[in-house]
Parts: sequence; C-alpha cells; structure tokens
Amino acid sequence: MGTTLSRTLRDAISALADVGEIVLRERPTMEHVLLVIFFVTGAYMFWGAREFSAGAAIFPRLTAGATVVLSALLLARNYLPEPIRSVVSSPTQMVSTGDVEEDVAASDDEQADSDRESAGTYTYDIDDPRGPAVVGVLSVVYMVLTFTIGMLYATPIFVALYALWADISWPKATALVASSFGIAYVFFLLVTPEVAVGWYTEWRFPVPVLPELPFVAVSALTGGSA
Amino acid sequence: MSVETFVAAAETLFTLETMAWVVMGVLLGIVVGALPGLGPPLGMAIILPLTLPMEPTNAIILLIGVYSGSMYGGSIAAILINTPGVSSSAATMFDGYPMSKQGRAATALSISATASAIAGALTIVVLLLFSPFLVEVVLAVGTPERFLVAILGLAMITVVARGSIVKGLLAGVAGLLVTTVGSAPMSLDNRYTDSMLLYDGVSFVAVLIGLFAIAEMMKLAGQEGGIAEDGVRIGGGVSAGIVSTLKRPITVVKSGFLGMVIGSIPGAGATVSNFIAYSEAVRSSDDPDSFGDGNETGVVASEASNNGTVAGSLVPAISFGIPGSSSTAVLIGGLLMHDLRPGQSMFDPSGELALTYAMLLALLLGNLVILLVGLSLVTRLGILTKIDTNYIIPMVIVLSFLGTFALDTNPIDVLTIIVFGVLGFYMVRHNYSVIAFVLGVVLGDIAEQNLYRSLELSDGSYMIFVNPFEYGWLSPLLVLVICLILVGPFLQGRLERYRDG
Repeated sequence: MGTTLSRTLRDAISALADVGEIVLRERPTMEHVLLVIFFVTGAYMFWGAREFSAGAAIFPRLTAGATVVLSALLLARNYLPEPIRSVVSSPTQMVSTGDVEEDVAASDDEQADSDRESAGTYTYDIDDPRGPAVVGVLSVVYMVLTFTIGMLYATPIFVALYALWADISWPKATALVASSFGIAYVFFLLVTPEVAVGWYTEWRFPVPVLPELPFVAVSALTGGSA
Repeated sequence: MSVETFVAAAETLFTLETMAWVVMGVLLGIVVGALPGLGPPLGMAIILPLTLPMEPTNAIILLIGVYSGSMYGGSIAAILINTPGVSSSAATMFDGYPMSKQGRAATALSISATASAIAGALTIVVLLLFSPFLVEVVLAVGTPERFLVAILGLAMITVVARGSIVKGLLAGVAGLLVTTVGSAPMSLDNRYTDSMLLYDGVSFVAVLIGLFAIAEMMKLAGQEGGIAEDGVRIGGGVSAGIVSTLKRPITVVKSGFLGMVIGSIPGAGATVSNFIAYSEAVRSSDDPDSFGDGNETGVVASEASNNGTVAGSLVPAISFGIPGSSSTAVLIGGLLMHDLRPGQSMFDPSGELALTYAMLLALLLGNLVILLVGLSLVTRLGILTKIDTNYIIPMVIVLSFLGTFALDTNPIDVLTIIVFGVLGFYMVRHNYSVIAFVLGVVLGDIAEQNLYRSLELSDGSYMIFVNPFEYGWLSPLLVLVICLILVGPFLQGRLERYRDG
C-alpha cells in the first residue's frame, strides 16, 4: 500500500515536471516553486492593495508590482530575447574575489571551495537531502505540539525525535533531551509561563516545581527585571 | 565629538554590569563563531529575543560583543579543521590549516587573536575620530534622501552580491513586501489581515531567526563533516604568533582598513573583505608562491580584515539603518526591538549619541577581551570544533522557537520562523540574496514612512526625487547613483565586448 502510494506520487511529480519542462523550457526545480510563490503572493498583494486608502496603498502596490514583474521575468527567462535574457539571468559582480579563490582552490580541498561565499549570496552543496527535509518536518511537528501541548513539553519531544533520527546514542540523547527541557523550563520560570500552555487547545499540563531560585541569579539572568 | 556625551558613554560602559555583558557577548561570540555552521548572524538572532527584558544599552552591547567575538571565533574552526566557522574566515583556511598540519596551530590561532584584536581596535578608534564628520553627513540628509538611501542600499546589495541582479532585486522587494502586512505606519489601515495576530505585522525578529537559524540548521543537517577528528593537536608557540603579527604592521593596518572600507559598503561584508585583503597580501608579497602552504601573512591579512569590517559595517547601519552585513541586519533588528531608530537620533547628543559611543567603546573593549581570551585559551579552543552538529541542530532550533515565542507569545511568530526558514533555505540554495531580503524586511517601515512623507511634501509628486531646482541636488544625485549601480555592470560588460570586438 505504502509502496504503491509512493510510486503513484513519484509518477505524478514526474508527470508534472515533464509538463513544467515544456512550459518553462527547462526542468523545474525548487527555484521555480520559489518564484511561483513570489509571483502569486505579489499578485495577491497587488490586488488586495485596492482596498486600502490611497496613502496606505502606495508602498504595497510598488513592492508587490515589482515582485510580480521580477518573478515573472525570471520564470519566463527562456522566452526572453537574448540581450534581455542575459540581463535577467547573468551573474554580475561589482567586487570580485574570484582570482584568489580560483588560485587557492586549486591547491585546497573541495570543502573549502563549497563554503566560499560571496557577499549577499552563496550556494552550497547538500550531501544528504533527507537532512533538511527531516529538520523541516520536525520543526512543523514541534510547532503543532507547541500549539497543542505547549512548548515546555513539546521541546523535549522534538529533541527526542531528532535524536532518534540522528541515531544519537541513548545516554547522549537522554542528556540532550534533559538539557532541552531544562532550557524550556528556564524560559517558563524567567521569561513567560505561556510556554507551558497549548495556544490552540489551551491545555496546561502540570509543571514540575523547583525550589525558588536565588533572587540575585534571577535578576542577573533577566537584566534586573525580575 | 561631543566630549560630554562621550564621557557619559564611557561611564555607562565602565560599570560592572555593562562590562559583564561585553565579556559575555564576546565569549558567546567566540563559541558561536567556532562552531562550524553557526555564525554571527545566527548567534545574534537567537540572542535577540532574550535581550528583550534587558536595558537597551546592555542589550545592544551584548549583541555587538557577540558580533565581534564570532569574527575571531570563526578562525578557530578554519585553522583547526579546514572549515570556516563563519564565512568571513574562509580565507584564513588557506594558510591557517596548512600551519595546523605543520604542527603550528597555536601560532596560527594566536596570530588570529592578535591580528583580529589590533585591527578591530584600530578601526574602531578611527571610526570614533571620524564620527563628528559622520554626524554632519547624517544630519544633512532629509526625508526624500533617506528613502533614496534605503533604495541605494538595496541596489548596492544586489550588485555586490554574486548572482543575477534581478534575483537580488527580487529578494529585496520581496523583503519590503513582507513589511506591508499589518497596520500601515502612517494611517489606520489594516493591510492583508483580519486576524488580531497579524495586526502588528510579520515580526522581523521572527523573520531574522527563520532566515538565519532555521535555514542554516536545515543546511547543516544536509552536510557531512565539519567536526574535528580526535587527532587534532594544537602545537606551536603562542608568543611566536604575537611576534609574527607585530612584525607585519603594514599587513595588519592595510587589511584592517580594507575591511573597514569594504564593510561600509552595504552587502559587501567580511566575506568579501577577507578575500580581498588576502589577495592584496598575496599581490604585495615578495614570495606569493608560499601562500596556501602556511604563510603567516595570509592569516594576518584575513583575520585583520574581518574584524576591521565590524567597524565599517556599523557606519551605514547606525547612520541610515542600512545593514552592511547579515550581522548588522540583526543588530538593526535589536535597535528597533528596543525602540531605537537608526539615523539622526543615533547622532543627536540629546538622543542616542551616548549609546552610539558606548557601542563603539564596547567594541574597543571587546577586542581586548578577544586578545586576552584568544591568547590564554589557545590550547583549549580545539574542543569547540569537536562538538557534533547533531547536538547543535536541535538545540539551536529549540532556542529559536523559545526565543521567538517569548517575544510576544504570538503563535504566528512560530509559524513565521518555519515559513521563512524554509524560504531562506531555498533562497540560498538558488542564489537569491538573503541579505537583500533581510534588508528589505528591516528597511520596509523606514522606507515606507519616508516615501509617504516625501510624497506629502510634494503633494503626491514623484518629482521630489528627481527635480533638483525645486527640491535640491542630493536626491537627483542619489537617483543617478542608483541607476548607475543597477545598469553599470551591464554597460561595462557591453563596453568590454565592444572593445574586444
């Protein structure tokens, strides 16, 4: 059942990618998903700005309009005439560090090369694509647990799930889970008791009670506000 | 320089509590910088919500301590395990790691501490001396110009960043777009939201944490390596490193000031300055072939430049709210979170000038801490590079969630860090400038307010930005510079092709 579902899903994605390839004139990647998100959000916000007063609508219209135009240009780059296409997709750089990078890269290892970043943008290699996916999914699970049972107890559960996935040994995993609960508990004590409440369900599980912390320590940790 | 304000700033700084925050910030920064995969913006982003209950001065000083400390901390991983703890130490690897392999790791680490501290302190002193001139410039800038300076910062980032200019611009305007959610700054309109949870808009602190913490942890979870093997031995002499640095005063000064100048260009940051200073050291050397094989000058140049960048990047950040780097973007976030507006008030003796001076003095002091800690703990710093990323990832995410939620106990903020974490991960993957995006998010409100006020001044006419006869020359000049920055690289390319042809 699971295998069939997974194969069907894979086939569906593959078919979608084939269609995308015809439309975009290149194999779709997550970059195209990103651009579609920018385009749709920009279009929605441009349209939504008509409901605001004239003064409040100027800035959203300008920024949303620019978002739509720029994302459309990037999505349609393979349809653009060559001069415009090169403007849209060619890399430009004002400050060049390339010579040194190339020279030293030749005598250095690959790790260094992949980590060499430029000013605002840099790309990197992902050795195991499951890693980011797992972190993303576990973060969503953490959020759902936060909204139901509260962050105080959601925190050790999240860390335990991560430790399980990362195959961390039991003693180390236990220490990690205990530390995470300790951090959440410090937040509960010193920052906000709301971390023990599920926002959506309003569930409040019993919280362990510790002897009161010395006032000086609490005051130091909170910058004198305790 | 307002001497009274300067003295008041020094008095604020030299209290036990504030000094403790400086030291704690620098130490935290060294740890954060040394852990592969973490870095100054991430460390500062996680700490940001925790500073909420603190006094603004202490909060900003803590953040700035982390910033400065992590610049040095990054060199530890670069030297010991050939992985830059922060991108700004990437060039340190070229000669630092070979030195480590030759059994001179302690020398390389002490060079790093000494060069970082000297260059960091020198550039801060120069910034302090030039601050009166900076005050004049900031005070001369009016409302329309402030809007254009924001756009100029955005334009510079898109060009300085490697990659397509259109991608950079898209990232910047998308960041600006995020700030339009929630109450309009100049009217009572609630934009794009019927929910009470979004009345205050999308929290920029949550956006910063998502982009820098969650996205980076997703990246780290997909990468192998980055942890030292048990065999890393920290050999060599500490004093040899100090002497080696002091024997190269020109490299230290030149690299430090190169870092400062490049750092003041929005978006350029320590990553660029680090490579440029290194390449300058190679160019001006009598023995360029020795670079890459453990030449000490390479480590001096790289480390002096990245700490010099800190002073430079503060110039556009505190003057106009334009971050020179991701770290200063988070710093601006900290200022805004504590109701401090970058710009004129930061240079007004009756405003926040004392804080500005206290911040710069804290950086000066932070460099002394770097020197002391760096040199005294050289042989023990290797332990930081042995921490498994599988322990770091869940703890960073936990701190991000708790810190974000603690800000306003608004559940939307938790959703925000996940959404922007995933967005940031794919943006970086596909070469979209995250700094431009962050700049947009940080600048959105300031830019909108100045645009609105400018249009009010001109009765709705955009001519206020281009008409020199009625509204002065500065605005049209800025518009011209923006156009040149955006179009320049293409014109240059065409010109070169024409010449070649």
